[in-house]
Amino acid sequence: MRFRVPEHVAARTVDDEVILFDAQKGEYLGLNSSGAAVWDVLASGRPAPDAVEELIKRFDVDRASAEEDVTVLLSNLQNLDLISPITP
Amino acid sequence: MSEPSELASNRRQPAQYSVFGLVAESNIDLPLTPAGSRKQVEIYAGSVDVQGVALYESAEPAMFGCYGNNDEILLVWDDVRFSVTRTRVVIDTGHLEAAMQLLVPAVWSVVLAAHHRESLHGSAIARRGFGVAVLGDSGSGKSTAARGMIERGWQLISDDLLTFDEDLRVVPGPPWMRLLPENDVDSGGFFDRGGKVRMHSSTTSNPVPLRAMVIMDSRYEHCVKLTGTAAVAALFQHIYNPVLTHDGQARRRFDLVYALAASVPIYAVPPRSLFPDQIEDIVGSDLT
Repeated sequence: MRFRVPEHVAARTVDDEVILFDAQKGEYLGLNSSGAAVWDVLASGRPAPDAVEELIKRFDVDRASAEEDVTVLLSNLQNLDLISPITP
Repeated sequence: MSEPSELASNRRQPAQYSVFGLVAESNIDLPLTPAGSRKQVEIYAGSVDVQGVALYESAEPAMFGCYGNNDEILLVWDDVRFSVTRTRVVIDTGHLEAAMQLLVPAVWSVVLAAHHRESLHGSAIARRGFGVAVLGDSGSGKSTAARGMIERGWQLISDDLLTFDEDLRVVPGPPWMRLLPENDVDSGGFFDRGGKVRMHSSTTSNPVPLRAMVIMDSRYEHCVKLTGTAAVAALFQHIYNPVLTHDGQARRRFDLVYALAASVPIYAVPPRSLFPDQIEDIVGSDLT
């Protein structure tokens, strides 16, 4: 599944972190460097498995940990309406 | 409604003033920096009716209400009312002194918002073309730190409210500072309605780029450089007027805070701990 960034969400990079701003709620969420790496993949329209591979490559983590991290972050982002699945 | 006598006696030929980068014209004698440009905002006495949607109301520590009525924002204290739009400020009061103390910077922060300019709560000083901003809660020592630098030859850019031009430079504010009474030593100033001493201080003539920002924050026990989300979060804590009064304002605040965090070094220090030597260490020897 691929994802898109809703119009009400602005993403900005500061140092090695990404800050997501929800203009509808006036709230923001900060992602650390690994979260930022996952976000960059998902926000570019690539599927979640690509984000898993990115974590493994950049942060030297095992596959199970990477899959869990991506699953948790993706769930949180969707619950906060910061990312939306692209429906075919 | 007849014009209050105090305002009526203060009227004269209209004059232009520079107020945080906007040119205001008023026939009320204002304690602000004269300007020679075409007016952008008109300030005058008149009647203000409280109407619209309540955006904020409080009874403590003092009665205050903020209301939105289409493109008009109403600011109401117990002894003065203001009606604010992008092009005019109407003052309704029988106490001119109270109105003047609220007009700048409190009411003016709403005028700036109407011009799509957001503001932070802090003080800024400059030397050799570069500035340092000091942010923090009321009473944390921002103005005292700024005054310490002024005594070392720095110049005030603005006290209490910081706003920025399109190049992210701090815009000069009105020619005064506000200090806690215990930090005022023969300034020749006077007590304002907020309980602080308001003293005259000349300011820079032009906007100034920042070399650093220092945030007084009780969560820190010593000087720490903030990066990433921590820097953004720290700046968000010091938005001048948290009440949202205009469409798109939340996004403009984020854009401002992000732009500062991405381009200006930001440090956190404990409150009331910022001394001139420390500021000079932060900004580097080329400004001292």
